[in-house]
Amino acid sequence: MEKRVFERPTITKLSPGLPSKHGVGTAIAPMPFVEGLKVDELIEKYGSPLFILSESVMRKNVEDVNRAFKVRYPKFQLAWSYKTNYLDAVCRVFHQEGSWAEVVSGFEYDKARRNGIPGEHIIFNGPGKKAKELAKAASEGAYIHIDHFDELYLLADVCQKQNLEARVAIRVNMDVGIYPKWDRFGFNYENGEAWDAINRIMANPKLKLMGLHTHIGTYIMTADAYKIAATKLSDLASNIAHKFNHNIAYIDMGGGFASRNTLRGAYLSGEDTTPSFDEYADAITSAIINSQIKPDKLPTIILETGRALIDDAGHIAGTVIANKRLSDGRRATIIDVGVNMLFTSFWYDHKINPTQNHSGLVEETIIYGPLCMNIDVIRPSLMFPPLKVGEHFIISRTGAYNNTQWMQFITTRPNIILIDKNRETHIVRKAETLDDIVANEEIPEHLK
Amino acid sequence: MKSNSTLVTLANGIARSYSQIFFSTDYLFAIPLLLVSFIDFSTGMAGLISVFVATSVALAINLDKETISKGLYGFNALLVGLGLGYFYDINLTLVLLAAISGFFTLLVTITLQGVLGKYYLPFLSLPFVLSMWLVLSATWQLTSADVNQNSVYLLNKMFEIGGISLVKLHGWWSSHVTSNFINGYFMSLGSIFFQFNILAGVIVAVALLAYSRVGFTLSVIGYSVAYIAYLIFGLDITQLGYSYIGFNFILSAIAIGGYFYIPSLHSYLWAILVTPVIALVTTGMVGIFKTFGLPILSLPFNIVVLFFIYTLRFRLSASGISEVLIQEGKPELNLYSYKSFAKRFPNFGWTKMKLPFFGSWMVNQAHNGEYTHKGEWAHAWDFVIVDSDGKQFRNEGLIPDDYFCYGKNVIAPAEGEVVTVDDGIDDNPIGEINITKNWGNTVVIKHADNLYSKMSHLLKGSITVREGDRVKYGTKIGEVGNSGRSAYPHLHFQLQATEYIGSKTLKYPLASYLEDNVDIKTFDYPKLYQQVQNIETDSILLNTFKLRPGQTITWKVKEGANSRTVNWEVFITPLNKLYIQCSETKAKAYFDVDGVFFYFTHFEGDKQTLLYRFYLAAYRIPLAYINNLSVNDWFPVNKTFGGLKLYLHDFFAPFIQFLSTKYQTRITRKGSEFDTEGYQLFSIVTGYFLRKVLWVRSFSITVKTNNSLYFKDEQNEIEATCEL
Repeated sequence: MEKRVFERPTITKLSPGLPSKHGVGTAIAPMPFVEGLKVDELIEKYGSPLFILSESVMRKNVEDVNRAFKVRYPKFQLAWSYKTNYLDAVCRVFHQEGSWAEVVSGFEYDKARRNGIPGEHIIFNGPGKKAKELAKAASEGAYIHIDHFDELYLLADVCQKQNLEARVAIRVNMDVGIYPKWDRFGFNYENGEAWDAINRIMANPKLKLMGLHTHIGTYIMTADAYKIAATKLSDLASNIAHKFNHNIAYIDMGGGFASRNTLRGAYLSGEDTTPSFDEYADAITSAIINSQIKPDKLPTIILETGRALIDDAGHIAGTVIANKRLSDGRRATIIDVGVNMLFTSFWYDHKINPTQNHSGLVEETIIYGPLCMNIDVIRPSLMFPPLKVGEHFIISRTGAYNNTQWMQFITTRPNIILIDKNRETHIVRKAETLDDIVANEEIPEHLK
Repeated sequence: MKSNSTLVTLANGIARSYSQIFFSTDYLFAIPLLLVSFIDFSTGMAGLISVFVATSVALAINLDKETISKGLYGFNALLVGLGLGYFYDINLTLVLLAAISGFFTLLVTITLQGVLGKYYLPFLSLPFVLSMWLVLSATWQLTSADVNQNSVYLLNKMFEIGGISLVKLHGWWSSHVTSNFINGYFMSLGSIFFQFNILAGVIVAVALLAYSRVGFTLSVIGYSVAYIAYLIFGLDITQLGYSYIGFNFILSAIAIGGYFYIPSLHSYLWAILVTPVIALVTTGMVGIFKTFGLPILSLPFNIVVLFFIYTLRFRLSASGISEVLIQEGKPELNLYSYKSFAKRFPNFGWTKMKLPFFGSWMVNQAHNGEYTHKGEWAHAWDFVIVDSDGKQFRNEGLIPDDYFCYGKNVIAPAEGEVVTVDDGIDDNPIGEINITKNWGNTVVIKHADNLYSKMSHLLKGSITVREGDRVKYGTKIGEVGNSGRSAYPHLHFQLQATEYIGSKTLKYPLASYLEDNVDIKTFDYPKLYQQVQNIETDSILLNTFKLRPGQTITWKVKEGANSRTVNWEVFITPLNKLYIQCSETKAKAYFDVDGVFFYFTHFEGDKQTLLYRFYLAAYRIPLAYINNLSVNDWFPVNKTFGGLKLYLHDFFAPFIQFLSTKYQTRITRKGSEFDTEGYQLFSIVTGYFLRKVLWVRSFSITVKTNNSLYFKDEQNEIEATCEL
C-alpha cells in the first residue's frame, strides 16, 4: 500500500442544506503529466518555472480548423498570427502545416521572411507600417492590408516613386452587434468610408485590390457575429464585382476565435461556453455561399486566428515558494511564476493544477507571483489544495500571447521547451542570463 | 455551287462504289479496282454504266448525299453491271440493260436497306444477288444480246491490253506457278470483279495489300482455311478456285475478321471458325440453285455474315469479339481508334456521379467490405472523416458529437429527383445499432432510369429535401447522423437500380474524384482507407478550354523568321461531337470537355498543321489545378506513327501492339495563388517500340488569365499566340 501523503490540516466551513450556486464543492484534480511526460521530471531537467509547448496539440488544432472549413467551403487558407506567438519553432510548426504568415510590423515581417515564408504568403496588417516596410512588402508581393487613409496615401506615394505595384486589401470595421465595437482599425463599413477607400484603390493603377479584411474583435464568444461580418464583406465583394467588374481573391475574416480559457469575471467556464471551430466555420461559410457572389468567383477564406490554435498547446510548470496567511485569514500561496511571464493572467482565470495527489480538500487561496510588485497576482481567488513549499503545479492554456508579451522584469525569463510528436523534448528558447539582459546596454565613459 | 457539289457527290459515289466492294471508302483503292474491271472492256463498261445510273438516280430522287458519296448505293449496281458485261458483249442492248439494271438494283438496295435496317443489319451485296438473278433470267430471253466470249480468248485479250510482254508474262506464270492454291486465290479475287484471270487477281491482291494489311491478311486466311476445309471434306477444289465461289470466303473473312468487328485475335478466330460453315452453306446452295440454273454468286457470304452479326447481338456480355460502333471505314482505323478509345474512355456516356460530400473524407468500408457490404449489398461505400492520426473522433468518442463527420452536410452526388425520403429515426448512442430500421434516415435520388443513389444513416430531422424535389450536384440533402444500423456516425453511400430503401446495390463507378490529394481518378471505385474528395475545376482553365461551337480562334504563328496567321473554327456534328477545324487545310481535331478534363478524341487531316501539333500538345488537359499534377494518356498508334513502321505494324496490330505513343503533361501555376497570371502546361509525347524510345516531341502551352494562349512546339521552334 502506498504511503499516504501528509497534508497539513485545513479548517473548512461546514455548509449543510442545499448546495449554493457554486455547486457542491470544488475538486482540483492533480495533473502529473503533460503530453505523457512527467511534469516533475521536466522541471528537474529544465528548471523551474518552465514553459512547455506541445507540437502535436498545435498540429491537431490546425487540422481541426482546416477540417471545419474545408468540408464546407472549397478554398480556405490559414495565416499564422505572429503576434500570438512568434517563437521561430512555433511559427515553423504552423508553416509546416500549410499556414501563411500574418504580421503586423516590419519586425514580424522580417521574422516571417527569415522563417522561409515568401512575400506572397505574408499578410501585412497593422496601423503602423513605415514607408520602407511598405516598399519591401510591395516588391515581394505580400498582401498589404491598409488600415487608414494616411497609409493608403503613403503606399500610393511609395509605389509611385519607386514604380512598384502593390497587392492590397482594406481592413473594414463594422457593427456586428457585439460590444465592444472595434472601430479603431480599418475603414468603417456603415458610414461609407470603406467604399471611399475602395474607390481610391480601384482608381490607382499601382494598387491591386486583392481582398477584404475584417477583424471584429477578440475572444468573440458568439459565431453569429462572424456571420454578420461575413455577410457584410460578401456584399462589399459582390458590389465591387458589379461596379468595377473586379473579383476579389479572398476574404480575410481575421481572428478572434475564443480559446477555452475562462475570462476573468466570466460566470461559466470557457470550456463550456467557447464555440467550436465547426460553429464558427458554419457561420462564415454559409454567409459567403449564400451571398450574391457568383459560385465560380467564390473568394478564398483566410483566417488569422492565433489564440484558438496555440493557447491550449502551452503550459507553465512551476514551484511553490511559500505559503502564508493574510490578515483576513485567507491563505496566500507564492509561486515562482509572475505576471511578467504570464501576462494573460491579467484577463484569464488560468487553470492551475497540482502535479501530485492531495487529499481533495480545498481552501480559498490567493496565488501571488514572486515579483516585488503589488500587481503580481496570478489568481486573486480560487479554491485550491494546500500545496507545500517545493511542490509543483502546472498552469494550462498559456500558449497565446505570453511568449510575445512577456517581459524581463525583476527576474529573467525561463526555458521554453517543445514536446514533439515522439514525446522528445527540445529547448526552443534558452533561459535568459544576466549577459543576455545587458548585451545591448552601453555604459557612458564617465560612468565606467 | 449546288451543281458543283452534286457532281462531286456523283464522282465520289461512283469511285467509292468500287472500293466499297471491299467495305472501303478509299479513293486511291478505287483506282486499281476500276482498272481491273476494264481488263475486259465490256465488263468494265457495263459496270460503270450501271453504277453511274444508280448513283445519278439516287441523287436525282434526293437520297442521303453522305450515303451516296460513300458508294453505298452504288456498289451493288456496279456488281450487277459487271456481271452483265461479263455475260454479254458490249452493244446498245447491253448499255440499255446495264442502265436499267442499275436503276433496278438501286430500288432493291433501298428496299433491303429498309428491311434489314430495322434489325440494324447491313444489306451487304444481297441487292446484287437478287437483282442479278432476275436480270440473268430475263436476259436469257433477249435475242439482241451478244454473248461475251472474251474470257475464252484470254491471250488475245492480254495482247490487246499489255502487248507481247504481258502474254509472255502470262506464259511464264502458267509454267512456273502451277499451284492450285495460289492460282485459285488470285482467280477468286479477280472474279469479285467478274475478271476471271490471274492478272486481275494479282492487281486486286496488291491493291488490297496496299490499302489494308488487316484486310489482305484476312483474305489469305479466309481463302486458306476454305481450301483446307475443301480438302478435308473432300469437296471439289476446283469449285473453290475456278468458279465464282472462292471470293465468298475472302469477303466473309474480311467482314467478320476486320470490318464489322474490331480486328483482334478473337475476330480472326471467328473468321476462321465461320469458314467451314460457309463451305457447308455454299455446297448446300449450289445443290439447291442448280435446279433453277442460277449461280449462287455471293449469297453464302451474305447469309453467313448477316446471321453471324445478328446472332452475336444477343450476347449478354460483350467480352471477346467487339462490334464496331463507329465505322471509320477501314479495319486499321477501327482497330487503332478502338484500342485507344477503349483504353481512354471505357465509360463513355455514363452518368457522372460524384461523391456526396464536400471536403476530404476517408473510405471506411468499400465494396465487398468486411462488415456489412456483402452479398447483394456489396457495392456500397461508408465514409468518415479522420484526423492525421486516423482517428474519427476527438476526446473519447463516446458521444456522436465527438465524431468529425457527425452533422456534416450530405449533398446530392449528381442531378436528379428525390424519390424516397425516410426521416424520423432516432440517432443511436455510440456502439448501439437499430436493426429494425437498419438503413436509418435515408434519401434516395433518381439520376437516370435504373440508376439511383442512396445516402443513409442521416441525422434525424436534418433532411432538407422532399420526395419530388429536383436536386443538382451539390444540393444539400441532409447531415451525417448515426441512425439505423450504425454503431458510430458515418455516411453510407450506394448506387442501386430501384428507388426502394433496402434495394440491392449496383456496381457503378464514380465519374471523378481526387484520391489521396494527388491523383485524379475518373470512372473508378474509391478503395478502402483512401482519402477522397470531389474535384474543383479551375475557372481560368475551364473558361479557356471550354470551346464553344461557332468560336473562331486566330493564331499568330512565328516559324523562324516567318510569321503567318492560322484560323480555326469550332463546329459541332449532328451527333453532338465538337471539333476544331483548320480553315485552310480542313484538318479536324475532335474534342470533348467533361467536368475534369479537356481532351482530344480524334484527329483527321494534315499532320504538318498547327492543329495537329496542338492535338499532340493538348491531348488531355486537366481543368483543375493541383500543384505539379502530372497527367498521362496514350495516343492511337496511327495518329502518331506513319510510313513503313505503321505499315508493318498493321499486320500484328490486331494481336499485339509493338508501337505506342505516350502523352504526359505537367501543370504549373504562374503567379501566386491569389494573383494567378496563368498556367503552364508542359507536354511530352514519346513514341515507343516496345519499351525503346523512338522519338520525343515536347510542347508548352501557357494559359493566361486574360484568355490568351501561347503555344510552342519545342523541336520545330514554332511559336503561336492567340486570344480566345
